[in-house]
Amino acid sequence: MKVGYYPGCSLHSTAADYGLSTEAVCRSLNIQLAEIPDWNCCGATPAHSTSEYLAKALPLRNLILAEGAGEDLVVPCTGCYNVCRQTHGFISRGSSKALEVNREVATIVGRKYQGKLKIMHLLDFFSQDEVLQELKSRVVKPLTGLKVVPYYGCLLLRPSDDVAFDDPEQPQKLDRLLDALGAEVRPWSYKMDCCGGSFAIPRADIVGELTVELVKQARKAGADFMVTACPLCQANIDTRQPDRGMPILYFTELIAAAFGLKGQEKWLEKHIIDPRPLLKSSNLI
Amino acid sequence: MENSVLAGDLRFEPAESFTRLIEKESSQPVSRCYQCKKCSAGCPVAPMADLHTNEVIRLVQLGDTERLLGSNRLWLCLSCKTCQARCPNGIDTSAVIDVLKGMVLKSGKAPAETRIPEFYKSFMDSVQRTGRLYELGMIGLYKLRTKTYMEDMGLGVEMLKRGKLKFLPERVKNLGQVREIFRKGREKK
Ligand code: SF4
Ligand code: SF4
Repeated sequence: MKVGYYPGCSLHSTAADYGLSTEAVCRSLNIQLAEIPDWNCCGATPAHSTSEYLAKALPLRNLILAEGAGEDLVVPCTGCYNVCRQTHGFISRGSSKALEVNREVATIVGRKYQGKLKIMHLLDFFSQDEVLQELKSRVVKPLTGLKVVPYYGCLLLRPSDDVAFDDPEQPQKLDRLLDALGAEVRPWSYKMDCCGGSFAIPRADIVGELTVELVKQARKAGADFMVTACPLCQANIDTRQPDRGMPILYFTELIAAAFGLKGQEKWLEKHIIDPRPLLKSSNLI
Repeated sequence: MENSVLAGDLRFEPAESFTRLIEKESSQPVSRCYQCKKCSAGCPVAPMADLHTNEVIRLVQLGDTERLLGSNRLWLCLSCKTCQARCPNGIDTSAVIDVLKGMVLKSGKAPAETRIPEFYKSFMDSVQRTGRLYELGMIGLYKLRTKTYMEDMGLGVEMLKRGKLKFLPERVKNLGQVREIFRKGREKK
C-alpha cells in the first residue's frame, strides 16, 4: 500500500525518533510512504500568530503538491496535521478570502488546490479497522504489564469541525491502539490538556508549570510512561521535567517494541529521559 | 427604549464598528457572547494573563482597543482551542486573538510580551530563508534578538548530541516559490 507522506520539519530534527520509528513500522507493514515532493514548513503557530496570509499560503503549497502526487496524505506531526486540515477546511468552505489565496498561490505554484485530498493523521490511519487488525496480528511482544496514559494534547482534535477524527473531549483511538498492543491503559482526565506548545523556548517557565502538572497527574494515574502522537508534547514533557522521572514515548515506538523490530536503539537513544531501562525491565527490548 | 440614555448614544457607534470589524476579520460571532466564562475556565494560561478569555470578548464588544492591544494575553494564548471547544456560542477566542496580534504588529507599538513575538519572528525568518525550519539558525536569531545567550545551553548540547538538532539546514529546492509567498505576505500587511 502506498500513501502520501508529509513528515514536516520536526520529524527530521527534534522528533527524529518519531520519524525513524514511523518509517520502520510502516516498512514492516508494507506501507510505502511517498514524501510530498519538495514540501515546505507549514508555518505552525508562528505563522497564524503573525500573518493571516502566510498561515494559509504556506500549507496550501504543500496541499497543492500533495494533491498533484495523487495519494491520500498521512501526517504524523500533530501540528502539521492541524494546519493542513484547517487550511483544507478553509479552502473548501470557499469564502472570498479563500478563493483569493487559492488563486494567488496557484500563480506561484502553477496549480490551484481542488480540495480533493484526503488528509489523515498517522494515528487515525493506524486506527482504521483493517490496519488495526493487521497491527494486532503482528504483535510478538505484547506490552503486558506496561502501564501507560494516552496523551492526545490539544492540536490533534481541535478545532473539531476541521480536524477531529475522534471525540474531541473523550477521545478513544490512542487508548484502543495501545490496548491492542497489550498495554495497560490507565484512565486519567488530562488527555487533552495543553503542554505549552511552542512556548518551550520563549517561555519555558509556562511550559514547566503545565508539564509538571501533567506529569503529576500521569503519575497519580499509575503510569510508567506517557504516550503521545505529537512532537511538541513529546519535546515539552521530555525536556521540561525538573526531576526527569517520566519518560514519554511516541505511539509508533511502542508499536515497534510490540513488533519486536530490530534497530530500536536508533530512536530510543534520542530521548532526553531514557525510556530503555523501563522497556528492558519489561523484557520489551 | 426611546427614553433610554443609551438609545442613540453615538459613543457606542465605534464599539459597534470595531466589533463588526473583528467579527469579519476573525470569522467569529463575537456579538453572540453572553459571558458564561466557560472559555476562561479551561484556559491553561489564565493564571499568567492580565485578561481572562471572556474579558477579551467583552472588550471587543465594548471597543476598548487600548486595553486589548496592550494586553499580554494576546501573546500568552497557546492556540490550544480549549475555549473554542467549550464555547456554547461557537466562538473561537484564539482566532479573535490572532487578529488582535496582527493589529499590534501592524501598529508598530511594542507588544506587551517581548519574548514570544521575537520567537515567532525568528521562526518565520528561518522558514523564509530555507523553506523549512532550521532550528539551530532560528535559536541563534532568537538569542541575538532577546540577548538570552546562556539559557538552555546544556539542553541544546544534549539535543545536538542526540541528533535532535541538526548542524545544517534542509532547503526547499524550489525556494523561489516560498520566497514569493513571503513577498505576497508582506504586500498584504
Ligand atoms: S465561552 Fe463563549 S459565550 Fe461563554 S464567555 Fe466565553 S466566548 Fe462568551
Ligand atoms: S486557545 Fe488561547 S485563549 Fe483559548 S483556551 Fe487556549 S490558551 Fe486560552
